[in-house]
Amino acid sequence: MSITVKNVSKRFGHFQALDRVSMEVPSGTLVALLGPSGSGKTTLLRVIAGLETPDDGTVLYQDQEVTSQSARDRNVGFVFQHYALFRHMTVFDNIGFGLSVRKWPKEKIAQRVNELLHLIRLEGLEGRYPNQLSGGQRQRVALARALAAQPKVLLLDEPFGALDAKVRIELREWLRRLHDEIHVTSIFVTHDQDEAFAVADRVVVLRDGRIEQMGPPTEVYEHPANAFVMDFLGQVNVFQGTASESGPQITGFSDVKGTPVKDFCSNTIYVRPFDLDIVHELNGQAGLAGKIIHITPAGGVVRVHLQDLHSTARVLVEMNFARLKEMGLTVGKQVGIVPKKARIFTPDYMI
Amino acid sequence: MKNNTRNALPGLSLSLGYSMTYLSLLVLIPLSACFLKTATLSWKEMGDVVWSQRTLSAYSLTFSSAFFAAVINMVLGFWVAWVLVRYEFPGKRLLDSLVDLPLALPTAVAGLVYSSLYVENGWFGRFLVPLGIEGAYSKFGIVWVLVFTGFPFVVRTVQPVLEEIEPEVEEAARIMGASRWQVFTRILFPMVFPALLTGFAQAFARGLGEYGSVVFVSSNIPFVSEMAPVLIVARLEEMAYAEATAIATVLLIASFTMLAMINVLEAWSKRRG
Amino acid sequence: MVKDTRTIPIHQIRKGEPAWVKALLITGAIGILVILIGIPVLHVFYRAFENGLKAYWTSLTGNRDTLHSIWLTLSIAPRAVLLNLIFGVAAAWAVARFRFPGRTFFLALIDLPLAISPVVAGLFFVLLFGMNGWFGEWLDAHGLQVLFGTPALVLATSFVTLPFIVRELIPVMEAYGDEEELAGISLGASGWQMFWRITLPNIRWGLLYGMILCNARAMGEYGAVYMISGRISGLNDTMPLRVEKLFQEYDMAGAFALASLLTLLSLVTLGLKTFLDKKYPVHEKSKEGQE
Repeated sequence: MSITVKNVSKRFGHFQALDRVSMEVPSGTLVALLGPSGSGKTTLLRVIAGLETPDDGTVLYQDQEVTSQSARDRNVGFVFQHYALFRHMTVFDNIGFGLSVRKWPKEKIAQRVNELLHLIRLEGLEGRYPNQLSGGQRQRVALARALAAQPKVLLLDEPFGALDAKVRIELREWLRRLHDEIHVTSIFVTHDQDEAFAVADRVVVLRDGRIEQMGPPTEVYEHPANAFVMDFLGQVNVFQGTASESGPQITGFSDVKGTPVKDFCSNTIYVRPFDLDIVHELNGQAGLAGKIIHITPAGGVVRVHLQDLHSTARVLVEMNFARLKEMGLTVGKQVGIVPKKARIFTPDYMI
Repeated sequence: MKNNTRNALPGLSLSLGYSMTYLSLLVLIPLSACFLKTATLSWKEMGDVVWSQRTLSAYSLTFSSAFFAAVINMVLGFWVAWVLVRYEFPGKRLLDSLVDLPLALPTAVAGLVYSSLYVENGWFGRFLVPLGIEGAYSKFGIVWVLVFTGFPFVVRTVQPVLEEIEPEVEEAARIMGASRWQVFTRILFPMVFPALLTGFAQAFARGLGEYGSVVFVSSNIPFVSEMAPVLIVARLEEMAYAEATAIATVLLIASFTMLAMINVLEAWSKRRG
Repeated sequence: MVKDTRTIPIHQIRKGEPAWVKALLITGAIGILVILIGIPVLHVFYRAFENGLKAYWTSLTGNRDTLHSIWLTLSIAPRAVLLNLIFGVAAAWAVARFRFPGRTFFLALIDLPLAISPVVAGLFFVLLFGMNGWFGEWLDAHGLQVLFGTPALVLATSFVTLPFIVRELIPVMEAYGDEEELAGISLGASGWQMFWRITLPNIRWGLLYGMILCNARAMGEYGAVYMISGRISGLNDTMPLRVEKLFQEYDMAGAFALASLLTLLSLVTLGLKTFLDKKYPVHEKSKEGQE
């Protein structure tokens, strides 16, 4: 079932949580709402669930308007950030709750709960209470509980927020596989861009109650709509420079291959750490002279922190391990920094 | 944000409607009956009742006894709270639960047993009376039984505040060279002070209205040992409704003032915490 | 400063006060509690039993008025507790789960009975239901006896004990949060299903706690009940009123026998309260990852 949000606004006192937000979630997709805290992503999710009534605007499930319908009648599955498991009920009763309030017969509830226990791989733990489970197990019970009554929509509020790094990655991969199996339209909220890109079909980036950009992960990553999105998606280097019809001109760099821009007034240029490269000697090539001050491994790549010898600004370069070894880079070494690609944004998005 | 996310839950109108009706029937209407009854007196009549010699001496006895009892409670309550929070010793848990007894024990029982303990041949009276300390049918008796009824308040407001003070705070002060006494007077006591005042105000408010215990230990002689609540009862027995109500209104206003003060103190205490 | 730190070795800082100060303070605190509370409690039982078990039993059961006062108290207190229970749950739900205009006023109103002298509270009801009161004539014309009867006793007792249950429930509800209830609603539960199956199980210990305190106060209430009971022996004396009457009649054995029952009640209350405090502390009911 598809979900459409039209011009939804919501205020809490003086705080504008949502400001005329519109978006569409095609049926069967898995969408991530991504943004910093206070961006309105959780409020948007709760409005879709019916846990919050918007001040203005409409929410449609397929073609049916549900804006004034209560959460109870929408038949959505909602996974809360802190799971909100019923602590006085066993795992079995938690998962079966939605069925039992719908007056399902006992045998059918048992059958469905067992099916779900198998799905979340927690068979044998149905008699436990929530406080006897680990964080990851609780999360899966919360998910099974939300799925029990076969909801048309599955909504997840920071589903992995309270878990440690390793369990987080396991669970998000599991969620992706699960979604591929059951294909229920799903929306989840996260502030972690890695999580959004790893799991979602589409990413919606929010800031201050407004949607900054939406699209497939690769598109958003490759073509961030503005400086905020670019910065939010990962660390960037900020340079002074000018932009012209042919592309950006960074002070200190000469010939840089960048996307041509329409607006020329900007003098701030953003370059992602892996769009920069390190060479032993500049040899007249366009680039900056820098000194390595710190090297940190980060997953599959290495982050090299440098200091620009002219402006003393910090520059961050990402490269793979093999190349670092091959070049024999060490702290204190003087090298050249050369750009591969740069991006320019209009002044209203300057940070 | 949390505060406003509550409208998806059902039952506001039912629960609020029901409880508001209940409160109106049980509290608001009786309260306004009291004020309206007082209003039937002319200013002069009102003045005659409220400022008569007998009433004035009842007020002054009530306020001074409640005040002294609350002051004694500040000292004793702080002492007990301090020991319960900071030291371990056998029987501590028993003592801790004993603190609440005055709240659970009917005040009439308290009055009965206190008068029995402090009369001339009572357990305490036989030692105290020869020394000239009259614990029953005296002003001291009234204050002392009010200390009993108000005892839990100071302990229970100070205790959690003392518990929350992290040992690091004291350690930091000690490392910077403060003596134990300086740590107490300059760090611990100021931190606890708002809670201490709150407890004082609560004990004071309780003392103002206390009746059950006082009526046993006081000889209830007009002008001498008649407390304001006792006077209200006496007026009512004379069928002098309006006069009884006028005195009650004065007590009510005093209680409201204390309530407002407690709220201000708690807000202060929270801000400091 | 640097010199000072050397004079206090680190391991001594945590040790606290010198032993003699500690001993003095502990002894003092024990002394305060024993003299103020411990001995009076023992004294009640001593005086009740000083003439032997048989005398105790006769003074309790041999007097019809005394027996009636026990029965009356046992019939009034549960009704007051029930009234305040329903009110307490409703009011706590409204206060803990919603923000509405006048909420602060509502909260102040709930606290009011604690600040009002019980004697004054009793007077309120005399003013309402007495012969000269607002409803007095009407009630009299319809042959209804409210004042000096059980209804007024229940009302006055309810007034005095009104805040006890609500005041326990509000922090409990606030501590466990609304997420479980929202989850229940989103899973399709109706309002009442949510209440019986999620809210009530979560507040049950707080509810019990509040009921115990409310009951103790209801059974022991003196001032308010004194004002409206009319004090007709054998008809509407509650236990505390009966204690006072026996005391006035110089029947000390009878007064202390009855007082011992009330004391026992308060000790049981205290025991249950301590047990619940230990077993279900409110702060542990809050969820592990507070926002």
